[in-house]
Amino acid sequence: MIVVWRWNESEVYGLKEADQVDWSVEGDTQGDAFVQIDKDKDSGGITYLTDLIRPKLEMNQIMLFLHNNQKYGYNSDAVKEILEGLGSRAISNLVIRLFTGGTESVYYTPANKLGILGTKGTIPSGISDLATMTIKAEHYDAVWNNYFINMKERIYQLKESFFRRAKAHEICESVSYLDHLSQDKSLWYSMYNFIEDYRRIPKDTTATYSDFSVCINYTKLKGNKHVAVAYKEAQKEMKKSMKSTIIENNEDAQAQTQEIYHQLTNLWKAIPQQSY
Amino acid sequence: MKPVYYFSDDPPFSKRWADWLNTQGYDPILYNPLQPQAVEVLLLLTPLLIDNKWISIENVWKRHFENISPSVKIIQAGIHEIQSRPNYLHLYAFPDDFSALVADSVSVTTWEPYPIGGEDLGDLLSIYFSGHGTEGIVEWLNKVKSSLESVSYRFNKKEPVGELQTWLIHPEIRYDEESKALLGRWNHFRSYFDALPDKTFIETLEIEILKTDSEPILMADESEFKPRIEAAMAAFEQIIQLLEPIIRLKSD
Repeated sequence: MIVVWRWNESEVYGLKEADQVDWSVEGDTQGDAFVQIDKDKDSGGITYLTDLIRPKLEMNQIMLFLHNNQKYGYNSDAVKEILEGLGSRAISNLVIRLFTGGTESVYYTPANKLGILGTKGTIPSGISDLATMTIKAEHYDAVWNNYFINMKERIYQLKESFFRRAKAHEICESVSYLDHLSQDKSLWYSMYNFIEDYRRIPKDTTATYSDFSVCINYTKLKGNKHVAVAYKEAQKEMKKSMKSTIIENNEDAQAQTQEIYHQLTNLWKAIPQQSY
Repeated sequence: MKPVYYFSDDPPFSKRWADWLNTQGYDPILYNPLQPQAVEVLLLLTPLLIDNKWISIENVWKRHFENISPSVKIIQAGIHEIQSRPNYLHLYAFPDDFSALVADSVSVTTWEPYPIGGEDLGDLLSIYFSGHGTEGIVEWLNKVKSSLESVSYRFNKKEPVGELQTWLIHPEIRYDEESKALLGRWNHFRSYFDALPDKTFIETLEIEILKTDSEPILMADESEFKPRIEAAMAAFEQIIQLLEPIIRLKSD
Protein backbone atom coordinates (compact mmCIF):
# COMPACT_ATOMS: atom_id res chain seq x y z
CA MET A 1 0.00 0.00 0.00
CA ILE A 2 1.53 3.27 -1.12
CA VAL A 3 0.29 6.64 0.14
CA VAL A 4 1.39 9.79 -1.66
CA TRP A 5 0.47 12.68 0.58
CA ARG A 6 1.77 15.92 2.05
CA TRP A 7 3.00 14.17 5.19
CA ASN A 8 3.47 16.32 8.26
CA GLU A 9 6.26 15.63 10.74
CA SER A 10 8.34 14.38 7.83
CA GLU A 11 11.51 14.63 9.93
CA VAL A 12 10.00 12.16 12.42
CA TYR A 13 9.30 9.67 9.67
CA GLY A 14 12.60 10.23 7.90
CA LEU A 15 10.99 11.74 4.81
CA LYS A 16 13.35 14.70 4.87
CA GLU A 17 16.29 12.47 3.92
CA ALA A 18 14.53 9.85 1.80
CA ASP A 19 11.99 9.93 -1.04
CA GLN A 20 10.03 7.15 0.58
CA VAL A 21 9.72 5.44 3.94
CA ASP A 22 8.68 1.79 4.14
CA TRP A 23 6.74 0.35 7.06
CA SER A 24 5.96 -3.28 7.73
CA VAL A 25 2.66 -4.65 8.99
CA GLU A 26 2.42 -6.09 12.49
CA GLY A 27 2.60 -9.90 12.48
CA ASP A 28 2.74 -10.07 8.69
CA THR A 29 4.29 -13.05 6.92
CA GLN A 30 3.16 -12.29 3.37
CA GLY A 31 5.33 -9.29 2.60
CA ASP A 32 2.68 -6.62 3.16
CA ALA A 33 4.13 -3.12 3.26
CA PHE A 34 2.99 0.44 3.84
CA VAL A 35 4.97 3.05 1.91
CA GLN A 36 4.95 6.78 2.66
CA ILE A 37 5.85 9.15 -0.17
CA ASP A 38 5.69 12.94 -0.29
CA LYS A 39 6.35 13.96 -3.86
CA ASP A 40 4.08 16.20 -5.87
CA LYS A 41 3.31 15.60 -9.50
CA ASP A 42 5.44 18.44 -10.80
CA SER A 43 8.48 17.21 -8.92
CA GLY A 44 8.71 14.03 -10.95
CA GLY A 45 6.02 12.19 -9.00
CA ILE A 46 4.66 10.24 -11.97
CA THR A 47 8.04 8.88 -13.09
CA TYR A 48 8.99 8.06 -9.52
CA LEU A 49 5.79 6.10 -8.98
CA THR A 50 5.85 4.20 -12.26
CA ASP A 51 9.50 3.22 -11.63
CA LEU A 52 8.59 2.08 -8.14
CA ILE A 53 5.50 0.09 -9.12
CA ARG A 54 6.60 -1.50 -12.43
CA PRO A 55 9.00 -4.16 -11.07
CA LYS A 56 6.64 -5.10 -8.23
CA LEU A 57 3.47 -5.62 -10.27
CA GLU A 58 4.13 -9.10 -11.53
CA MET A 59 4.29 -10.67 -8.08
CA ASN A 60 2.26 -8.26 -5.94
CA GLN A 61 -1.06 -6.52 -5.60
CA ILE A 62 -0.63 -2.77 -5.18
CA MET A 63 -2.96 -0.17 -3.75
CA LEU A 64 -1.82 3.35 -4.62
CA PHE A 65 -3.41 6.30 -2.81
CA LEU A 66 -2.82 9.73 -4.37
CA HIS A 67 -3.84 12.87 -2.55
CA ASN A 68 -6.19 14.67 -4.90
CA ASN A 69 -5.28 18.21 -4.04
CA GLN A 70 -4.94 21.15 -6.38
CA LYS A 71 -1.55 22.14 -4.99
CA TYR A 72 -0.29 18.57 -5.13
CA GLY A 73 -1.28 18.01 -8.74
CA TYR A 74 -2.74 14.49 -8.72
CA ASN A 75 -6.05 14.07 -10.50
CA SER A 76 -7.67 11.67 -12.96
CA ASP A 77 -5.21 12.74 -15.68
CA ALA A 78 -2.34 11.80 -13.38
CA VAL A 79 -3.89 8.36 -12.90
CA LYS A 80 -4.03 7.95 -16.67
CA GLU A 81 -0.40 9.01 -16.96
CA ILE A 82 0.66 6.44 -14.39
CA LEU A 83 -1.26 3.66 -16.13
CA GLU A 84 0.17 4.67 -19.50
CA GLY A 85 3.63 4.80 -17.93
CA LEU A 86 3.07 1.23 -16.82
CA GLY A 87 2.03 0.32 -20.35
CA SER A 88 -1.64 -0.39 -19.83
CA ARG A 89 -5.03 1.24 -19.36
CA ALA A 90 -6.09 -1.18 -16.66
CA ILE A 91 -4.05 -3.52 -14.52
CA SER A 92 -5.78 -6.14 -12.41
CA ASN A 93 -3.06 -6.13 -9.74
CA LEU A 94 -3.18 -2.39 -9.24
CA VAL A 95 -5.86 -0.16 -7.74
CA ILE A 96 -5.27 3.60 -7.82
CA ARG A 97 -7.45 5.73 -5.61
CA LEU A 98 -7.54 9.53 -5.47
CA PHE A 99 -8.42 10.60 -1.95
CA THR A 100 -9.30 13.94 -0.45
CA GLY A 101 -11.47 15.75 2.03
CA GLY A 102 -11.25 13.45 5.02
CA THR A 103 -14.37 11.53 3.98
CA GLU A 104 -12.59 8.42 2.70
CA SER A 105 -12.30 5.34 4.84
CA VAL A 106 -8.49 5.52 4.58
CA TYR A 107 -8.76 8.31 7.18
CA TYR A 108 -8.82 7.48 10.86
CA THR A 109 -11.79 9.46 12.21
CA PRO A 110 -14.28 9.07 15.05
CA ALA A 111 -16.65 7.56 12.50
CA ASN A 112 -14.02 5.23 11.06
CA LYS A 113 -11.81 3.85 13.76
CA LEU A 114 -10.08 1.41 11.40
CA GLY A 115 -8.54 4.01 9.09
CA ILE A 116 -4.83 4.77 8.93
CA LEU A 117 -4.29 8.42 8.02
CA GLY A 118 -4.74 11.00 10.73
CA THR A 119 -6.44 14.24 9.81
CA LYS A 120 -3.28 16.23 10.55
CA GLY A 121 -1.13 14.56 7.91
CA THR A 122 0.29 11.91 10.21
CA ILE A 123 -0.30 8.31 11.22
CA PRO A 124 -1.84 8.40 14.73
CA SER A 125 0.36 6.80 17.36
CA GLY A 126 -2.21 4.17 18.33
CA ILE A 127 -2.02 2.77 14.81
CA SER A 128 1.72 2.81 14.29
CA ASP A 129 4.88 2.02 16.23
CA LEU A 130 7.78 4.25 15.25
CA ALA A 131 10.33 2.17 17.13
CA THR A 132 9.67 -0.90 15.02
CA MET A 133 8.22 0.96 12.01
CA THR A 134 5.10 -1.20 11.97
CA ILE A 135 1.45 -0.48 11.24
CA LYS A 136 -1.29 -2.35 13.10
CA ALA A 137 -2.57 -5.22 10.96
CA GLU A 138 -6.22 -4.57 11.88
CA HIS A 139 -6.06 -1.11 10.32
CA TYR A 140 -3.99 -2.16 7.32
CA ASP A 141 -6.33 -5.06 6.51
CA ALA A 142 -9.45 -2.94 6.96
CA VAL A 143 -8.22 -0.23 4.59
CA TRP A 144 -6.97 -2.82 2.11
CA ASN A 145 -10.27 -4.69 2.09
CA ASN A 146 -12.29 -1.48 1.92
CA TYR A 147 -10.51 -0.25 -1.17
CA PHE A 148 -9.07 -3.22 -2.99
CA ILE A 149 -12.11 -5.37 -2.52
CA ASN A 150 -14.54 -2.69 -1.42
CA MET A 151 -17.16 -5.38 -1.02
CA LYS A 152 -19.47 -3.77 1.49
CA GLU A 153 -19.87 -0.65 -0.62
CA ARG A 154 -20.24 -2.62 -3.86
CA ILE A 155 -23.03 -4.74 -2.42
CA TYR A 156 -24.73 -1.70 -0.91
CA GLN A 157 -24.58 0.06 -4.29
CA LEU A 158 -26.12 -2.96 -6.00
CA LYS A 159 -28.82 -3.34 -3.33
CA GLU A 160 -29.94 0.28 -3.41
CA SER A 161 -29.55 0.78 -7.17
CA PHE A 162 -31.62 -2.35 -7.70
CA PHE A 163 -34.38 -1.22 -5.33
CA ARG A 164 -34.47 2.27 -6.81
CA ARG A 165 -34.91 0.86 -10.30
CA ALA A 166 -37.35 -1.85 -9.24
CA LYS A 167 -39.66 0.48 -7.35
CA ALA A 168 -39.79 2.83 -10.34
CA HIS A 169 -41.51 -0.03 -12.20
CA GLU A 170 -44.67 0.91 -10.37
CA ILE A 171 -44.72 4.17 -12.30
CA CYS A 172 -44.32 2.55 -15.73
CA GLU A 173 -46.24 -0.67 -15.54
CA SER A 174 -46.68 -0.87 -19.32
CA VAL A 175 -43.20 -2.41 -19.52
CA SER A 176 -42.61 -5.82 -17.98
CA TYR A 177 -40.62 -5.98 -14.76
CA LEU A 178 -37.56 -7.65 -16.30
CA ASP A 179 -37.61 -5.38 -19.37
CA HIS A 180 -37.78 -2.42 -17.05
CA LEU A 181 -34.78 -3.63 -15.04
CA SER A 182 -32.79 -4.54 -18.16
CA GLN A 183 -33.15 -1.05 -19.63
CA ASP A 184 -30.72 0.17 -17.02
CA LYS A 185 -27.63 -1.42 -18.54
CA SER A 186 -25.28 -0.52 -15.71
CA LEU A 187 -27.53 -2.24 -13.20
CA TRP A 188 -28.43 -5.16 -15.46
CA TYR A 189 -24.81 -6.04 -16.29
CA SER A 190 -23.84 -5.59 -12.64
CA MET A 191 -26.53 -8.14 -11.81
CA TYR A 192 -25.22 -10.58 -14.44
CA ASN A 193 -21.72 -10.06 -13.12
CA PHE A 194 -23.00 -10.70 -9.58
CA ILE A 195 -24.51 -14.06 -10.60
CA GLU A 196 -21.35 -14.90 -12.60
CA ASP A 197 -23.20 -15.15 -15.91
CA TYR A 198 -20.52 -13.23 -17.78
CA ARG A 199 -21.50 -14.32 -21.30
CA ARG A 200 -24.64 -12.15 -21.05
CA ILE A 201 -22.52 -9.02 -20.82
CA PRO A 202 -21.59 -7.76 -24.30
CA LYS A 203 -17.84 -7.43 -24.70
CA ASP A 204 -18.21 -4.08 -26.44
CA THR A 205 -20.62 -2.50 -23.97
CA THR A 206 -19.95 1.09 -23.01
CA ALA A 207 -22.04 0.77 -19.84
CA THR A 208 -20.16 1.02 -16.56
CA TYR A 209 -21.02 -1.91 -14.35
CA SER A 210 -19.71 -3.41 -11.10
CA ASP A 211 -17.27 -6.29 -11.13
CA PHE A 212 -17.82 -8.69 -8.22
CA SER A 213 -15.11 -11.22 -9.12
CA VAL A 214 -12.76 -9.82 -6.49
CA CYS A 215 -15.61 -10.11 -3.95
CA ILE A 216 -16.14 -13.76 -4.87
CA ASN A 217 -12.45 -14.40 -4.22
CA TYR A 218 -12.84 -12.63 -0.89
CA THR A 219 -15.68 -14.97 0.13
CA LYS A 220 -13.29 -17.91 -0.37
CA LEU A 221 -10.81 -16.63 2.20
CA LYS A 222 -10.51 -18.36 5.56
CA GLY A 223 -12.99 -16.97 8.07
CA ASN A 224 -15.43 -15.69 5.46
CA LYS A 225 -17.65 -18.76 5.21
CA HIS A 226 -20.73 -16.89 6.47
CA VAL A 227 -20.16 -14.26 3.77
CA ALA A 228 -19.86 -16.99 1.14
CA VAL A 229 -23.16 -18.53 2.29
CA ALA A 230 -24.93 -15.15 2.17
CA TYR A 231 -23.44 -14.49 -1.29
CA LYS A 232 -24.73 -17.83 -2.62
CA GLU A 233 -28.21 -17.17 -1.23
CA ALA A 234 -28.35 -13.75 -2.85
CA GLN A 235 -27.03 -15.15 -6.13
CA LYS A 236 -29.67 -17.90 -6.10
CA GLU A 237 -32.51 -15.44 -5.59
CA MET A 238 -31.25 -13.05 -8.22
CA LYS A 239 -30.71 -15.82 -10.79
CA LYS A 240 -34.23 -17.10 -10.20
CA SER A 241 -35.67 -13.65 -10.69
CA MET A 242 -33.64 -12.72 -13.78
CA LYS A 243 -34.72 -15.86 -15.59
CA SER A 244 -38.24 -15.91 -14.30
CA THR A 245 -41.25 -16.11 -16.56
CA ILE A 246 -43.77 -15.90 -13.75
CA ILE A 247 -43.47 -12.21 -12.94
CA GLU A 248 -46.79 -11.20 -14.42
CA ASN A 249 -48.13 -8.49 -12.19
CA ASN A 250 -47.17 -5.89 -9.67
CA GLU A 251 -47.56 -8.25 -6.73
CA ASP A 252 -45.15 -10.77 -8.31
CA ALA A 253 -42.69 -7.96 -9.04
CA GLN A 254 -42.88 -6.67 -5.49
CA ALA A 255 -42.34 -10.14 -4.08
CA GLN A 256 -39.22 -10.58 -6.24
CA THR A 257 -37.91 -7.14 -5.37
CA GLN A 258 -38.50 -7.77 -1.69
CA GLU A 259 -36.72 -11.15 -1.75
CA ILE A 260 -33.67 -9.94 -3.69
CA TYR A 261 -33.39 -6.84 -1.51
CA HIS A 262 -33.67 -8.99 1.60
CA GLN A 263 -30.91 -11.37 0.45
CA LEU A 264 -28.62 -8.50 -0.58
CA THR A 265 -29.22 -6.84 2.80
CA ASN A 266 -28.26 -10.09 4.55
CA LEU A 267 -25.10 -10.29 2.46
CA TRP A 268 -24.27 -6.63 3.15
CA LYS A 269 -24.71 -7.21 6.89
CA ALA A 270 -22.52 -10.34 6.78
CA ILE A 271 -19.49 -8.44 5.46
CA PRO A 272 -17.29 -7.50 8.40
CA GLN A 273 -16.37 -3.96 7.48
CA GLN A 274 -17.23 -0.82 9.39
CA SER A 275 -17.94 1.57 6.59
CA TYR A 276 -21.14 1.59 4.59
CA MET B 1 -57.43 15.41 4.38
CA LYS B 2 -54.37 15.72 6.62
CA PRO B 3 -51.04 16.63 5.05
CA VAL B 4 -48.21 14.16 5.49
CA TYR B 5 -44.83 15.44 4.37
CA TYR B 6 -42.22 13.18 2.85
CA PHE B 7 -38.62 13.69 1.74
CA SER B 8 -36.79 11.80 -0.96
CA ASP B 9 -34.39 12.51 -3.80
CA ASP B 10 -36.08 9.86 -5.90
CA PRO B 11 -39.12 10.46 -8.13
CA PRO B 12 -42.23 11.17 -6.10
CA PHE B 13 -44.51 8.59 -4.60
CA SER B 14 -46.00 6.17 -7.05
CA LYS B 15 -49.71 6.48 -7.63
CA ARG B 16 -50.25 3.34 -5.56
CA TRP B 17 -48.62 4.89 -2.50
CA ALA B 18 -50.38 8.22 -2.95
CA ASP B 19 -53.73 6.46 -3.46
CA TRP B 20 -53.23 4.40 -0.35
CA LEU B 21 -52.39 7.45 1.75
CA ASN B 22 -55.43 9.23 0.30
CA THR B 23 -57.69 6.35 1.31
CA GLN B 24 -56.21 6.69 4.79
CA GLY B 25 -57.14 10.38 4.86
CA TYR B 26 -53.66 11.76 4.21
CA ASP B 27 -52.32 13.96 1.45
CA PRO B 28 -48.61 13.34 0.68
CA ILE B 29 -46.61 16.55 0.12
CA LEU B 30 -42.92 16.74 -0.74
CA TYR B 31 -40.99 18.51 2.04
CA ASN B 32 -39.01 21.47 0.74
CA PRO B 33 -35.90 22.36 2.80
CA LEU B 34 -35.73 25.74 1.04
CA GLN B 35 -39.08 26.65 2.60
CA PRO B 36 -39.26 24.53 5.75
CA GLN B 37 -42.85 23.76 6.65
CA ALA B 38 -44.39 23.12 10.04
CA VAL B 39 -44.81 19.35 10.07
CA GLU B 40 -46.39 16.85 12.41
CA VAL B 41 -45.48 13.68 10.56
CA LEU B 42 -42.60 13.29 8.15
CA LEU B 43 -41.82 10.26 5.99
CA LEU B 44 -38.19 9.75 5.01
CA LEU B 45 -37.43 7.64 1.95
CA THR B 46 -33.73 7.02 2.22
CA PRO B 47 -30.85 6.58 1.53
CA LEU B 48 -30.34 9.50 -0.81
CA LEU B 49 -27.98 9.21 -3.77
CA ILE B 50 -25.69 12.25 -3.91
CA ASP B 51 -22.59 12.45 -6.07
CA ASN B 52 -22.55 8.69 -6.40
CA LYS B 53 -22.58 8.19 -2.63
CA TRP B 54 -25.48 6.71 -0.69
CA ILE B 55 -26.25 9.04 2.19
CA SER B 56 -28.27 8.42 5.35
CA ILE B 57 -29.83 11.58 6.73
CA GLU B 58 -31.81 10.21 9.67
CA ASN B 59 -29.48 11.31 12.47
CA VAL B 60 -29.15 14.87 11.17
CA TRP B 61 -32.89 15.25 10.64
CA LYS B 62 -33.61 13.82 14.08
CA ARG B 63 -31.34 16.37 15.75
CA HIS B 64 -32.78 19.22 13.66
CA PHE B 65 -36.37 18.47 14.64
CA GLU B 66 -35.43 17.75 18.25
CA ASN B 67 -34.22 21.33 18.37
CA ILE B 68 -37.04 23.09 16.58
CA SER B 69 -40.10 20.88 16.94
CA PRO B 70 -39.67 17.95 19.33
CA SER B 71 -43.18 16.59 18.91
CA VAL B 72 -42.63 15.76 15.22
CA LYS B 73 -42.86 12.10 14.34
CA ILE B 74 -40.42 10.87 11.72
CA ILE B 75 -41.35 7.64 9.97
CA GLN B 76 -38.83 5.80 7.82
CA ALA B 77 -40.21 4.20 4.67
CA GLY B 78 -38.62 1.26 2.91
CA ILE B 79 -38.78 -2.49 2.41
CA HIS B 80 -36.52 -3.75 5.18
CA GLU B 81 -37.87 -6.86 6.83
CA ILE B 82 -38.82 -5.36 10.14
CA GLN B 83 -41.30 -6.94 12.49
CA SER B 84 -43.91 -4.43 13.68
CA ARG B 85 -41.52 -1.61 14.42
CA PRO B 86 -42.99 1.83 15.14
CA ASN B 87 -41.76 4.73 13.03
CA TYR B 88 -41.36 2.41 10.02
CA LEU B 89 -43.68 2.13 7.03
CA HIS B 90 -43.18 -0.95 4.88
CA LEU B 91 -43.85 0.13 1.31
CA TYR B 92 -44.81 -3.33 0.10
CA ALA B 93 -46.92 -4.25 3.12
CA PHE B 94 -48.97 -1.26 4.11
CA PRO B 95 -50.57 -1.47 7.54
CA ASP B 96 -54.34 -1.52 7.86
CA ASP B 97 -54.43 1.84 9.51
CA PHE B 98 -51.82 4.57 8.89
CA SER B 99 -53.26 6.73 11.67
CA ALA B 100 -52.64 3.88 14.11
CA LEU B 101 -49.04 3.57 12.86
CA VAL B 102 -48.59 7.29 13.44
CA ALA B 103 -50.20 7.07 16.89
CA ASP B 104 -47.92 4.15 17.86
CA SER B 105 -44.82 5.93 16.59
CA VAL B 106 -42.72 7.91 19.02
CA SER B 107 -41.79 11.55 18.71
CA VAL B 108 -38.41 12.55 17.37
CA THR B 109 -36.91 12.98 20.85
CA THR B 110 -37.16 9.28 21.67
CA TRP B 111 -37.01 7.91 18.14
CA GLU B 112 -34.01 5.70 17.36
CA PRO B 113 -33.52 5.62 13.58
CA TYR B 114 -33.40 2.16 12.02
CA PRO B 115 -29.82 1.85 10.72
CA ILE B 116 -29.98 1.72 6.94
CA GLY B 117 -26.25 2.03 6.15
CA GLY B 118 -24.67 4.42 3.67
CA GLU B 119 -22.63 7.41 4.75
CA ASP B 120 -23.90 9.63 7.53
CA LEU B 121 -24.66 13.18 6.40
CA GLY B 122 -23.53 14.60 9.74
CA ASP B 123 -20.12 12.93 9.45
CA LEU B 124 -19.65 14.27 5.92
CA LEU B 125 -20.59 17.84 6.80
CA SER B 126 -18.60 17.73 10.02
CA ILE B 127 -15.53 17.00 7.94
CA TYR B 128 -16.34 20.02 5.76
CA PHE B 129 -16.37 22.34 8.75
CA SER B 130 -13.98 20.86 11.29
CA GLY B 131 -12.02 18.18 9.57
CA HIS B 132 -9.29 17.56 8.20
CA GLY B 133 -6.38 19.53 9.44
CA THR B 134 -5.82 22.87 7.79
CA GLU B 135 -8.45 22.28 5.12
CA GLY B 136 -11.48 22.59 7.42
CA ILE B 137 -13.57 25.72 7.32
CA VAL B 138 -13.09 26.43 11.02
CA GLU B 139 -9.33 26.38 10.54
CA TRP B 140 -9.70 28.57 7.46
CA LEU B 141 -11.68 31.11 9.47
CA ASN B 142 -8.98 31.24 12.11
CA LYS B 143 -6.28 31.81 9.52
CA VAL B 144 -8.18 34.52 7.68
CA LYS B 145 -8.99 36.26 10.94
CA SER B 146 -5.33 36.27 11.82
CA SER B 147 -4.49 37.68 8.40
CA LEU B 148 -7.09 40.42 8.72
CA GLU B 149 -5.76 41.42 12.11
CA SER B 150 -2.34 41.74 10.58
CA VAL B 151 -3.67 43.97 7.80
CA SER B 152 -5.62 46.13 10.26
CA TYR B 153 -2.58 46.51 12.46
CA ARG B 154 -0.57 47.95 9.58
CA PHE B 155 -3.35 50.35 8.70
CA ASN B 156 -3.84 51.52 12.22
CA LYS B 157 -0.14 52.15 12.61
CA LYS B 158 -0.22 53.98 9.27
CA GLU B 159 2.76 51.95 8.21
CA PRO B 160 3.65 52.37 4.58
CA VAL B 161 2.31 49.53 2.55
CA GLY B 162 2.96 48.60 -1.00
CA GLU B 163 0.63 46.69 -3.23
CA LEU B 164 -2.46 45.23 -1.64
CA GLN B 165 -1.13 41.78 -2.38
CA THR B 166 1.67 42.26 0.10
CA TRP B 167 -0.82 42.95 2.90
CA LEU B 168 -2.54 39.73 2.11
CA ILE B 169 0.55 37.68 2.55
CA HIS B 170 0.66 36.72 6.17
CA PRO B 171 3.30 34.33 7.48
CA GLU B 172 0.55 31.78 7.98
CA ILE B 173 -1.62 32.47 4.98
CA ARG B 174 -1.43 33.19 1.28
CA TYR B 175 -4.87 34.55 0.71
CA ASP B 176 -4.93 33.83 -3.02
CA GLU B 177 -4.15 30.15 -2.43
CA GLU B 178 -6.50 29.86 0.49
CA SER B 179 -9.41 31.35 -1.40
CA LYS B 180 -8.90 28.79 -4.19
CA ALA B 181 -8.82 26.01 -1.63
CA LEU B 182 -12.01 27.34 -0.06
CA LEU B 183 -13.82 27.42 -3.41
CA GLY B 184 -12.56 23.95 -4.31
CA ARG B 185 -13.73 22.61 -0.99
CA TRP B 186 -17.14 24.24 -1.39
CA ASN B 187 -17.56 22.72 -4.86
CA HIS B 188 -16.58 19.32 -3.47
CA PHE B 189 -19.18 19.41 -0.69
CA ARG B 190 -21.88 21.67 -2.16
CA SER B 191 -24.39 18.96 -3.07
CA TYR B 192 -24.41 17.41 0.42
CA PHE B 193 -25.95 20.62 1.76
CA ASP B 194 -29.02 19.81 -0.35
CA ALA B 195 -29.80 16.97 2.03
CA LEU B 196 -30.21 19.22 5.07
CA PRO B 197 -33.70 19.72 6.49
CA ASP B 198 -33.29 23.50 6.40
CA LYS B 199 -31.17 25.04 3.70
CA THR B 200 -32.55 28.55 3.65
CA PHE B 201 -29.04 29.82 4.39
CA ILE B 202 -27.44 28.16 1.36
CA GLU B 203 -27.82 31.09 -1.00
CA THR B 204 -26.22 33.51 1.47
CA LEU B 205 -23.41 31.08 2.13
CA GLU B 206 -22.73 30.52 -1.54
CA ILE B 207 -22.70 34.24 -2.32
CA GLU B 208 -20.29 34.91 0.53
CA ILE B 209 -18.00 32.10 -0.54
CA LEU B 210 -17.95 33.33 -4.11
CA LYS B 211 -17.13 36.83 -2.86
CA THR B 212 -13.97 35.51 -1.27
CA ASP B 213 -12.55 34.64 -4.68
CA SER B 214 -9.08 36.10 -4.62
CA GLU B 215 -8.99 37.65 -8.09
CA PRO B 216 -11.46 40.52 -7.61
CA ILE B 217 -10.23 40.96 -4.06
CA LEU B 218 -6.62 41.29 -5.08
CA MET B 219 -7.62 44.05 -7.43
CA ALA B 220 -9.82 45.80 -4.89
CA ASP B 221 -8.62 48.40 -2.44
CA GLU B 222 -8.68 47.90 1.27
CA SER B 223 -12.03 49.60 1.80
CA GLU B 224 -13.64 46.94 -0.38
CA PHE B 225 -11.54 44.01 0.66
CA LYS B 226 -12.07 44.10 4.40
CA PRO B 227 -15.87 44.28 4.42
CA ARG B 228 -16.05 41.43 1.93
CA ILE B 229 -13.91 39.08 3.93
CA GLU B 230 -15.56 40.11 7.18
CA ALA B 231 -19.01 39.46 5.71
CA ALA B 232 -17.89 36.03 4.54
CA MET B 233 -16.51 35.22 7.96
CA ALA B 234 -19.66 36.43 9.69
CA ALA B 235 -21.77 34.28 7.36
CA PHE B 236 -19.65 31.24 8.08
CA GLU B 237 -19.71 31.79 11.80
CA GLN B 238 -23.47 32.20 11.78
CA ILE B 239 -23.88 29.03 9.73
CA ILE B 240 -21.52 27.07 11.92
CA GLN B 241 -23.56 28.15 14.95
CA LEU B 242 -26.74 27.12 13.17
CA LEU B 243 -25.46 23.74 12.04
CA GLU B 244 -23.32 22.74 14.98
CA PRO B 245 -26.15 21.19 16.98
CA ILE B 246 -27.30 18.98 14.12
CA ILE B 247 -24.10 17.88 12.45
CA ARG B 248 -22.08 17.65 15.68
CA LEU B 249 -18.78 19.16 14.71
CA LYS B 250 -15.83 17.09 15.69
CA SER B 251 -12.87 18.64 17.42
CA ASP B 252 -10.12 16.74 15.63
